[in-house]
Amino acid sequence: MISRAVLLVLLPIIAGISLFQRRRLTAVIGMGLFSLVLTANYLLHSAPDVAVTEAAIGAALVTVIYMLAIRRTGRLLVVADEVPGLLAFEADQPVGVEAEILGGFARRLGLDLSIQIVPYQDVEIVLLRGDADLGAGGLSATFDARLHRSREHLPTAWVHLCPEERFDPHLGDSPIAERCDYPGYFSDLVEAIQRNDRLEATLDMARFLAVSRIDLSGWRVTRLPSPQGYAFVAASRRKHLRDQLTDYIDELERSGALDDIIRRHLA
Amino acid sequence: MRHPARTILAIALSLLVCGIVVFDLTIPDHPVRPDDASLLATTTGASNLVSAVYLGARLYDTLFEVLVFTVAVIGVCFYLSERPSTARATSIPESHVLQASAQILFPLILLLGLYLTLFGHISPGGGFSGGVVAASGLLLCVMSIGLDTVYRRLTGAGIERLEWALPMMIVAVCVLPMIFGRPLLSNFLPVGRAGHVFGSPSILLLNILIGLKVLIGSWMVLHAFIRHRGEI
Repeated sequence: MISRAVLLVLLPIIAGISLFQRRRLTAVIGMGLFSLVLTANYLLHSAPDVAVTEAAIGAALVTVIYMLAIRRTGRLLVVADEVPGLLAFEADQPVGVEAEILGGFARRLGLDLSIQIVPYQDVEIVLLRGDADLGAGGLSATFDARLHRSREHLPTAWVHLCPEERFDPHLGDSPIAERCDYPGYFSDLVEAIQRNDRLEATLDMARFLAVSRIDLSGWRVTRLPSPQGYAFVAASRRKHLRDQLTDYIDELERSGALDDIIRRHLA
Repeated sequence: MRHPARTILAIALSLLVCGIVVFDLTIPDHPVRPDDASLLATTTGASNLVSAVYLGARLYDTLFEVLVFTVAVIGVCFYLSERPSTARATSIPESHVLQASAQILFPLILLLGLYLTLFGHISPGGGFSGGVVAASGLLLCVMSIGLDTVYRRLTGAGIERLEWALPMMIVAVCVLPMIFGRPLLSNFLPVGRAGHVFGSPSILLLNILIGLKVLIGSWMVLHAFIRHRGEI
């Protein structure tokens, strides 16, 4: 008798709890739990046939179908190249200024943050294809007009890095000054410079700071005029997401949390 | 007309159902009252009274339940087939734990589904829940060895042709009693002793057909969802 009453009272409680979950996965698991308790209820009320069906459909099949659905819609898919200080992986956990902002933003939306590492040039391509929601990882250049740029969260500058023998004093006037450019993944570039491959690259401040730990004798470093700071880029159909992210960064700045994050990672 | 066989089947099915509804007024009138319950067990041979009601006295309701399920499966498959399939449906990012446990659990889940179906007239269960249990076993299999492998093996077994034939067979079982001079939608096979596996052959046959129908239908819905709307 008591167990019946307890199980009956549990039902609205579990339903309420799963209704107010921000994270969709937790909500779906809550509904699975609801089905399981409902099964026990049916069983105790002498309806084993209904209990078997409820267990098979409610607790197993429907839960899995919901999971399949949220696998597509329940995550914030970010494509980025690794940049030390901004967005990098340490022991499989994303760390850095951008990682922290994106983590907070995903929690705010009730989504699971999923970061996919791609070469710097591919960020734009993936976003234009619509295969990801946001682009990150030290984006300071101008992107395709179909993509939406969020507000800047950190000022930066561009630096041109080239071998001493290929130095061009008129570099600041040439079109190369309008793009952050290097081949492949950032980690490949670092390795290439360590191997002393004679290549040219335009880097933003965070990447340059990472490179400058290597011995740069024999390289010419030129600071380029750059009017822009770091921002996130949203895919072409995600204008609303961009606006939400901009609001979130505004809020972080107002509360002083943004300065705190930056100080912790880039001090 | 891409699938003439399916179209003919669908038309035949609709005609049959319309025929039952419109022309037959001899649908057995078995009012189920509480004091009839024990009587029902002896007349149908099913000791699980729930089965005795929904596959015996109220077979009419169950028939339409099966048809509603069929229409739902057709609808899902039809509308999702228009959508592009996701490219990543083939990848298997799951862990070794899942793969190893699926090998052990899959036969057990299938066995449970089979048990629920075959003993539905004796103990709680029946074709509907047994079919769904078996389908969730298939889902576990999909997670461990991939959608394409499971799909190839099942299609090789001609599972989808069976999906279209099963509603016909269920309708046939419901109509067959007329040939034996019994009212439509009644149990026509000889009733044995209540509580035995073959005590109620009609209900056993219906449970097997419904179990297969639900298994294949759920699999087709799941397959369509994974193929066109999600990834696994």
